[in-house]
Amino acid sequence: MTKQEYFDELKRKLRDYPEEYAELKEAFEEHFAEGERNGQSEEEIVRELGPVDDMIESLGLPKHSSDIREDFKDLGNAFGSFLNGLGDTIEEGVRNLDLDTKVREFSERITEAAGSAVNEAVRPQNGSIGAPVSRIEVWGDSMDLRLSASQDDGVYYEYTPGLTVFVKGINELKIENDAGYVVFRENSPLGMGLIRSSSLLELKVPEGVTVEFHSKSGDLRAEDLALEQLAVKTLSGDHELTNIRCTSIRIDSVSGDLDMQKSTYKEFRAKTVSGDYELDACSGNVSIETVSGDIGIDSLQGDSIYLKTISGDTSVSCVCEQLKSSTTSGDQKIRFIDCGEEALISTQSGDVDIEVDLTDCRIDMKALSGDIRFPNAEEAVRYDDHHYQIGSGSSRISVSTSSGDIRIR
Amino acid sequence: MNTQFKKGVLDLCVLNQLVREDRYGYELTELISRELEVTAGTLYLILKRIKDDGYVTTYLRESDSGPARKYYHLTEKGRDYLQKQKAEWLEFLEKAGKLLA
Repeated sequence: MTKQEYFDELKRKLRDYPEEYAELKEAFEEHFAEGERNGQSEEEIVRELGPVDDMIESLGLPKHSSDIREDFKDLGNAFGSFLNGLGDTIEEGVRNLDLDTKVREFSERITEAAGSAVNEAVRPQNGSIGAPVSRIEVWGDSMDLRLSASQDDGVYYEYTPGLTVFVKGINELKIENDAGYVVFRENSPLGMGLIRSSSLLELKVPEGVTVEFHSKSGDLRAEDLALEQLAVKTLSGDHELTNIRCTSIRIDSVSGDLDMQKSTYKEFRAKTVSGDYELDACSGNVSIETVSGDIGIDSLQGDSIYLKTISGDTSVSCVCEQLKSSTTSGDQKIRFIDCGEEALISTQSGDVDIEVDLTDCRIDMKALSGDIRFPNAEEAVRYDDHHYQIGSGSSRISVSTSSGDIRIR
Repeated sequence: MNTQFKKGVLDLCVLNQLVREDRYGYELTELISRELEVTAGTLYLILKRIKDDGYVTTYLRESDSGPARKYYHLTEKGRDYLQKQKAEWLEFLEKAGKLLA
């Protein structure tokens, strides 16, 4: 197609939009002039510009009716020849199915265009740090941390950097040791990484150290450990703690989930926005605050348990001195609790479902506008339409809701 | 070439070429199509759009080897937009990268 033919077609298809045509023509005229000066032929440049139809489509202008009729005719012809070539096409397609290469090629080009280079160096690091070590800090944006016990007083580390492709520089672990205060810091290079697998730091630590983990998306897994303190601060990293003995555990996360089992601690404090928390067979004082995360406590033993969520649901079974569990709109499920002092369960609009032995405890229920249901109506003491008491035990449970329902079973 | 990937980021790729210096149309189409399979036509439409959005302005500069060329210049608004979108794109790549790992 010559330059003139191209412009004619463009003018025809843009006949209802003279302004757009004029703008494009001006830009293309200049493009043709430059191209020709660079030794390109008219045909070449026309091909570079691409089909007129694609351009019209990209402009997002409605098509002229006679042009649409043309399209259907073309479509019919194309479909016919497609059916003819179907067998060949499938065979070719299957042979060319190499997605990994295609994705990689595409990423390479994208990052060149934006100014970065391909890098695929992966260098693991490992070693040990001799005693005494009292405190360990780990910093890594997307680095996962796995903690386990060391056989002796030293700290042993094994670092496997994640594969960050198409970024200048490499993932590197920097280690600083200042008289037993050790800092592991992962330096991630700046730039765009399209394909990325998380780095992994495996640490074996001696008993009684304090560990602090700062990460954006890194996950934490800790097993069979005895620590002094464990502090975790992540955005979306998930945490799995099994069989940990610790004086204090503190978790700060935005959306990361926590799964803690068979662990003992004096204090457990957690703050999250949407992370879900599950504590199983643990013992120690607990304070959990979340906005929308769910809290699941199973067989917890502690002195004081404090749970607060806004829209998340709670499910509690525990033995403690004092339990305070409050939600705004989330539902609460209480099973088998044995409270030395008093349990306070409160929600605004959530429902409360309680399953306890009524000979063990005494439940005080207040629901402003919700329903209160319990098994044996005669046994209940009615103060007024919204305030009842049931049970004969020594444990005291106080339940209150504004518009939610209360159900005792 | 996957058009879904392209669509999101072509505008940014074009704007990014103007960070350090102004460039003329043909120059830009050559730069971009060297890396990505994009027709010059599409690129000119992008240039038209970013000009309408106020991210670039144009001016004519005389050249000794022929007629005047229309140069594209990145505005403050364009610089701001590019910076913010680049950050979002990086974040998106990291997250998608995790899912693709």
